[in-house]
Amino acid sequence: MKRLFAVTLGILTAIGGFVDIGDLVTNALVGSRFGLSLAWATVGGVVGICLYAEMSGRVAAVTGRGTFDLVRERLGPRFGLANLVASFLVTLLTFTAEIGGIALSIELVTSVNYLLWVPLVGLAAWLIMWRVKFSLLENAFGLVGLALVVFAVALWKLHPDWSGLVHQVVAPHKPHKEGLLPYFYYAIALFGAAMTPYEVFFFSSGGVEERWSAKDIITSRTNVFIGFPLGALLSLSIAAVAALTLLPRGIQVDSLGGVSLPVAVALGKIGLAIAILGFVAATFGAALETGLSCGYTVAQYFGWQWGKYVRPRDAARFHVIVLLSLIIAIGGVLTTVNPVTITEYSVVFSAIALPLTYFPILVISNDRDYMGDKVNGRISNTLATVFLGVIVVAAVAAIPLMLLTKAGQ
Amino acid sequence: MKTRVVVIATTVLLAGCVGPATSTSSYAGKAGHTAEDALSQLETARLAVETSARGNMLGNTLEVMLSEAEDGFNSVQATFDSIQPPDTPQADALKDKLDPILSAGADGLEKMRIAARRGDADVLKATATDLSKVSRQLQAFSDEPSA
Amino acid sequence: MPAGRELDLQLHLLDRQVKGPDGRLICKVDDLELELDEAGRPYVTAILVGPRALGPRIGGRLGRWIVSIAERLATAEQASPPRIDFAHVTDIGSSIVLARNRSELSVTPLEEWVDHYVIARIPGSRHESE
Repeated sequence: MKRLFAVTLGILTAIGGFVDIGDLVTNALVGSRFGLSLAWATVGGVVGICLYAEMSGRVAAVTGRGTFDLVRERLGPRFGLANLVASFLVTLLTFTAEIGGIALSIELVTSVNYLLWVPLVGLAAWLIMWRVKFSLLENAFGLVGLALVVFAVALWKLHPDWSGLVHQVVAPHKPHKEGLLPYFYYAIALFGAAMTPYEVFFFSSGGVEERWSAKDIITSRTNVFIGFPLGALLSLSIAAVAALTLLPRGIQVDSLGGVSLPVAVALGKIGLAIAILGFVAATFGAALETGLSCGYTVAQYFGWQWGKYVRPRDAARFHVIVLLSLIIAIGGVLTTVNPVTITEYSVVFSAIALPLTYFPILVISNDRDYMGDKVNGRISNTLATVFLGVIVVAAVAAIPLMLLTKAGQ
Repeated sequence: MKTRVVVIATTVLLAGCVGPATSTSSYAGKAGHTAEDALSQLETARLAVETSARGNMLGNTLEVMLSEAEDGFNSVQATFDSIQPPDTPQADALKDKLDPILSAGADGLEKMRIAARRGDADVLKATATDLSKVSRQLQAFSDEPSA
Repeated sequence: MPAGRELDLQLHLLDRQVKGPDGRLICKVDDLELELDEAGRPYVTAILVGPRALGPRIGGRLGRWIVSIAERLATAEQASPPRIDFAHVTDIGSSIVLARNRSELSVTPLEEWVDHYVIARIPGSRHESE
């Protein structure tokens, strides 16, 4: 019984924790411009993160170490440093976007300017990262993040033509008025939104924080293979409701209000309030994950003691990195650059950093010296390698597409 | 080699910034885009007001959305105004056609923002209904800028 | 010389995590100190730690830059990169386990500095998370 509870909790947390500001903004934007013709990119992204999160989780369970920890060992200090710099910078950018996202969500329900919330939000985030136990942190925000299920409810309430929606997904047809270049640019953005690098670092470091061992591989797998796809259904719902209510009116989502508008249309004040609660939980949870991941990556490369499983005084450099990252993230939002714009860039840069961050995971999870007999099976290896090829193509195409489409216009 | 890459990258990036339109068709393209972006902001505001009129919107959220839509719309208008039109009668005709539509939209959005803060539901609803005409004009313009 | 496992320095020692007897993480093997024995064969005498050890292995301009900054920050008594005598090593496996814990060695000056001047002054730093 207790086991069932733990498993359910894990799945629910994975669903609620799947969506972050990048998923909210990108899926709503894409739905309002392209309908569901880019659903394949979200689906592809989810398959990718399921594969790589499972590998990371397995590595953490078998070796008791985060994947980042092992990158330098397995691939050398120079490659490890390149990986560190890319991963850290992308995670820091995402951290900035999440802090902005929390502030925007609170503004949406209080109408007090988001900039005024930023210092408070930053302080709250730091206090939680400093004091709150890891598992409580994960579970609390993951569960409240389930409020975003309201998007699926809104979709159902809008009585869509289900067969029409499914047709759009399986037989995608780019809308006539949108160009081919923006279409593929946003496919890459959706990839980056679904497969954010920090997700993988956090998942594997979290496995070490929670003292996983080989017997936890099953739990990690259920979380990943059930939780993440269900979370992806939420992403698709966000896109679908935008497609149904906003696309016909020529609205292109460029604000968090726009993301929530379809829910208000479908479900009224209560639905809207729940959606905003979901925004706050999802972005706050993601802010904690990205903040801690900034610390995990640096500390694990240099071999410093890291983690919340020891007292702060025993992992001083780790906590200082987290604190400095938070200060930079707060500063980034306070430059008054639109957090939605920051988010749009963060997902594309995530896509660019993906090959560097995913490749070591594939290598390490195949290494018998670390994994014993728990190395990758033939099928997952083939799939994972194919995926690596896809994300390399996406990463290479990202910058040219960004320049050519002026970031998606 | 490195400096060359930087120069090329900077040039490509700057090309994305708004500069003078060098031909009528490129100006028409920019005008069309302006209408599209303006329509998006306007319709966001109108849909939010319509949702509010049905009792389905939170007051604070409406205020935030109207304020953001107004800022977005004004920014689109300002960008269009800053573009130097090419010296052709067709370009001038385009500008003369789009400018009043944009002004009407901006006025309406301001009116709705003020009405929302005052809690004046009637003015809100009436303005949103009136603005449907501006929406149609913007839609028609973005479909066929030269018509 | 007693017979033992054959180890590849690159594969089994360099960049490995170094842990204390309690399992706490200490540092990475940033570099190794080698000496020649009577027969002229090299053997490992110490683990070298820190940016002055790692810098040259990263190489290039970046590596030299790291080393020069570290040298500038080091005090006069720290003439060479911090070292852990190899005699302290008790196990070589997926990590290197030592017989001493971090407080008994003095190879992590940055950690001590940060702990003393920053972290210790923030309330709650002494306790486990709740």
